[in-house]
Amino acid sequence: MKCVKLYIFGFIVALLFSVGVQSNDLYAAPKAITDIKVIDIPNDDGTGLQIEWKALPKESRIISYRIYRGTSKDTLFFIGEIPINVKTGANSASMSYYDKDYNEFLDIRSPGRLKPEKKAGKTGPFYQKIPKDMKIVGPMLKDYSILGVIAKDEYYHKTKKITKIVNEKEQTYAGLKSSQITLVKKLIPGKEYFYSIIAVDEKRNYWPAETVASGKPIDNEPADPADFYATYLPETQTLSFEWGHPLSYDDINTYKIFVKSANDAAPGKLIYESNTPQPYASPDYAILKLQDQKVVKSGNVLFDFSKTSVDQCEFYIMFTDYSMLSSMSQPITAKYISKSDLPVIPRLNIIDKKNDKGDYNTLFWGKPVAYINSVQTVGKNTIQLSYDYGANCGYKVNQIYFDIYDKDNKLIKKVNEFFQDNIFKVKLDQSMEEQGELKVKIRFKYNGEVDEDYVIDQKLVYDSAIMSLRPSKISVDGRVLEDFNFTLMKKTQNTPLYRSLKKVSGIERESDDKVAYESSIFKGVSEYSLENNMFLVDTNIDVYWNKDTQSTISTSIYVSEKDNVVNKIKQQIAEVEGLIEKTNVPAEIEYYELYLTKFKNDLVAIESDNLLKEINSISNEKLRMKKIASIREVDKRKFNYFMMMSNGKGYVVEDSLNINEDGELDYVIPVSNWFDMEKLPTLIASLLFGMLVFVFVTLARKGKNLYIRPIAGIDEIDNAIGRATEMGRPILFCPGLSGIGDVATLAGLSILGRIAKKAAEYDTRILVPCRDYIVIPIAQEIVREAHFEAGRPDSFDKNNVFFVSDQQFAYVAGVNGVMLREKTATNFYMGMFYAESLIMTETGSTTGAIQIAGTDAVTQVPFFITTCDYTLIGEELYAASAYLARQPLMLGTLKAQDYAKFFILLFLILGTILSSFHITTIINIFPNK
Amino acid sequence: MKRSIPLAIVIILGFLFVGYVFIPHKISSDFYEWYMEWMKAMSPFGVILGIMSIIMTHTARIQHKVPNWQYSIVTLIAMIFTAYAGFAWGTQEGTPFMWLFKNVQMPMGATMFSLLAFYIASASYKAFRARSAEATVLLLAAIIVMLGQVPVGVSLFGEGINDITHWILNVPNLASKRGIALGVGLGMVATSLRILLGIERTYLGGGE
Repeated sequence: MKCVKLYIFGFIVALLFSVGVQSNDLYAAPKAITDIKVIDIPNDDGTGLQIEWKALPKESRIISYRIYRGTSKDTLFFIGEIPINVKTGANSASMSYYDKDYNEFLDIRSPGRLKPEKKAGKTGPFYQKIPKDMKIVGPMLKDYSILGVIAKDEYYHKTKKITKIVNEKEQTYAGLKSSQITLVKKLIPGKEYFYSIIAVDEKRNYWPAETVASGKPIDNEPADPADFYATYLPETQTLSFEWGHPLSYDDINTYKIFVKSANDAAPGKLIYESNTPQPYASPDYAILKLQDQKVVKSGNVLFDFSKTSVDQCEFYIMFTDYSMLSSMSQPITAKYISKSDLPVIPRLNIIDKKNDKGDYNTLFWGKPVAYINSVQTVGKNTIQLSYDYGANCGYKVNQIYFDIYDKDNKLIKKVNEFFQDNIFKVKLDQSMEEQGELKVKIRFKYNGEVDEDYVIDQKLVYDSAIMSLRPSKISVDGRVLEDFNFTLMKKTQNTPLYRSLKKVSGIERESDDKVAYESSIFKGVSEYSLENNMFLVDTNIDVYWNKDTQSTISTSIYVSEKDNVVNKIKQQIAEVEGLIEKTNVPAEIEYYELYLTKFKNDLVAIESDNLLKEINSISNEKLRMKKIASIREVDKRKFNYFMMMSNGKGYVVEDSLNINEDGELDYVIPVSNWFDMEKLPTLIASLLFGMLVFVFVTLARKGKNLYIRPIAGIDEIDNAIGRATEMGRPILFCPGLSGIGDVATLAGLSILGRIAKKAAEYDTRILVPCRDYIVIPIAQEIVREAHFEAGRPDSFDKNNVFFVSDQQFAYVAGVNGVMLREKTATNFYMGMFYAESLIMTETGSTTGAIQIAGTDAVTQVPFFITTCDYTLIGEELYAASAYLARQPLMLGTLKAQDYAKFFILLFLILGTILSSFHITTIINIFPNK
Repeated sequence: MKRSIPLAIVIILGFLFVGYVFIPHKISSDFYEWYMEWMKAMSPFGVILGIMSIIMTHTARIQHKVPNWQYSIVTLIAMIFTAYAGFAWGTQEGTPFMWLFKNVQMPMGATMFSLLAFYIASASYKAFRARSAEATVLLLAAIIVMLGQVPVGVSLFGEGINDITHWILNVPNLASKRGIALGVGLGMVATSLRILLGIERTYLGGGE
């Protein structure tokens, strides 16, 4: 008793000490930040600011810096936090926070009302995040460029039609509550923003900065173009250009290439211009096919290289942003190349990715490649070569042949990788160092035939630094594959501009492109309604791209506003016509007429669109929006793909366009599959197993005696319970550490039911310590029912099934404590166990309890076997419940299990024999994972 | 009703999830994502079950003054204090909660884990006593594998011991592991099938 009191006293002292440590000021008081600078981010679109301050010393014990922003000094809202490792302090003397691009403005985590940072002063200027309170957030919308992200169903079906007078005109908006929309923001160029920082120390004290700094984001010219290369192929009169993406490429509107004579001081002439597919990255290359040495566009000669040859010209590239600010590269000259310098580009193929939910297209090209990627010594003069290979949907690799030669071209070994396990061994005559170099020739058997003409060469050269053979680059017909990359591009129907998708290595042969289903609608937000407490967004939505009229068809989400788009275009036409009437300047008239033609075309397109007429004939709002969604979501997911190959230095080869049978660009859309064909063998095996179960259950029901081999561990369960009864001590049952979702836990609980019933019959207490919350009520119910079935409801105590801890070793400590205090006579461990198994069973062993364990954790089985009296290994755990029940239905499943094992064994033997003869049919039937 | 409704839920949802494995269609994956969101929303409520269980078990122990009931007071105080520390000061770095976690729970957990080293030694002693032919084989295999893993083994017996070690680990050891894994896989399928078909109902409480 004294000892227990001492424990309690000690624990309370420890707790008080912990609080004491918190309150003791063991370190120097932190100092507030004094020097905050707000700097415009260079070369951007004027929406970025960098906040910079000096980090406080490590002794200040700072755990984070909280950043606050506002449009006035008096009200600053929390916008972000930089955590600091309190032990090491900040990584550098100067700290930076970048407030740029679209980032969080208002979301579900925002507070409902204005909340000051109390620790930094109750009267401001520091406040928690921007609140959802429309009175506060509404007026702030004009201070930022706000984009609303709306779940598509919310926008389609759950908005409120709101009319508001804006600029003396009545406008209809779709109203959304703050719970329906997430707002992200960009800063507005030229507007002043205020920033301050709060340093938070280890004791959660807030140390506001002494100053509030301000800055204005400025729209700057793009960064100077770098890595600009030009090549000229005289054989085909092709000029190729390649350049590196600028840092803020999303601000670039056009790429322009100019040419001039190297001796000429006059400005260059424009020979190439391309817009960028905003907001996506543009492909960073251009190819110009000269006609009789001339650059011709729409019949106009832009530059004549017959007068000034290519080698006497200088080329420049100019990046221009949306504010017409531009930057120019240094002049470069074109390098003359020949056809043999360029690789042969394989054809790009596109198919819907198989066995997916319809959100991927598979892009594949070229013949398969294989290469050695590492060499290891595994014995005296024996090396193990690891290889990798890239195949694709067009080529099913059956076999890979590796011919290994020494440096004198003497054949050392031929390897046939009929089953590609990515590894093989070669025995050398001498050590790797003495060998110096190996040559590898790689050939394939694909689609059932050996391609003798397609040979990949690779060298393995001894590297004294790694004391091994280092694999070199691979080549085909003397062309090194790694020297060139593939750039994959795609475009939607409504633009002629391809966007850059990804750049992949020259040894890749396949790539998947994610074509996500539309889940959110993006709308600009600048208006709000205080009375409705809603944000207001545009009601118009794009429906589809009409390829006949070459225009995007859009409409309102409200039936009553279906003519909105038409009216808006008519209004635009009237405005432009008014402008034309007012001016006499021919250039301006020409400019306005371009717009007038576009608006008139759009008007004709929308008014004559049959699909839109069909949509607008639906009067039910919900059905109409469903129809719009079904058209829109398909249309937005159609893409045309394109590929080019380059070395990053102007050696560019383009693939031909993907055209359909009608000679038009082929737009593909991924399809959602109803069955995963890769899982067909699994399904067949499951069905066969189900059939076996059915057969044996039927046989068992008819009275056939099914022999089940005795399992010692299960046979001993009754004896173990009897022992506990005789000794008058409780039984301990651990249902494992997994949750209820683990089949092992379910199997363990099934056994618990049988054991609890027997224990109840013998009036023996059973203790069930649980680690998972959900397992507790289930285990309680099982034990309770067992007591009722045994006719001993009075002996049931639900506190005997109890929660210990969800922490692994705290649970072990708890269970060990129970064993030692309660002196349990029998311990059962049934379920999933990890590293704690040995600690528990060894403790049980020292208390002298009889222990029976059952687990499917292969790594824990040896520990159980060593320390327990009986162990159910793997499948025996699952069989135990059925074995104990001795019901025909249960026994049928056990018998079926045995036969299934027999069939698996049969396949194993058959597969082994066949693969010994290089027949991999059986192996290939089964899925890899 | 008390058993048939849960059973029906298990069977219907069970088959739906079996379907999900084979059907990659958007409808199937949307259903799965929807279910997972509910799972995430519901699982925190499970904690309440655990807390209730701890309070009830230990309150009963204190009330009935069972032997060592004083430990229950410590448990309850620790639980309440830790929860209070978390709610009152938060769980971030530098709070009392984090201090307790770092200076009480982590060292205690590490202490329990470190016991494993001693238990492994004693378990090895038990396992490697050459009392039978099988135990002798086990002992020999263990000695070879241990020697193959350390430089002294190679210097004493040459490269050959490395090859034998690899062979033991990659052939008989891996074969038996895979054998167990095969059995486990089939056992899981069989148990799942028994549950799905309503043959196995013990986990619902009660037997047949």
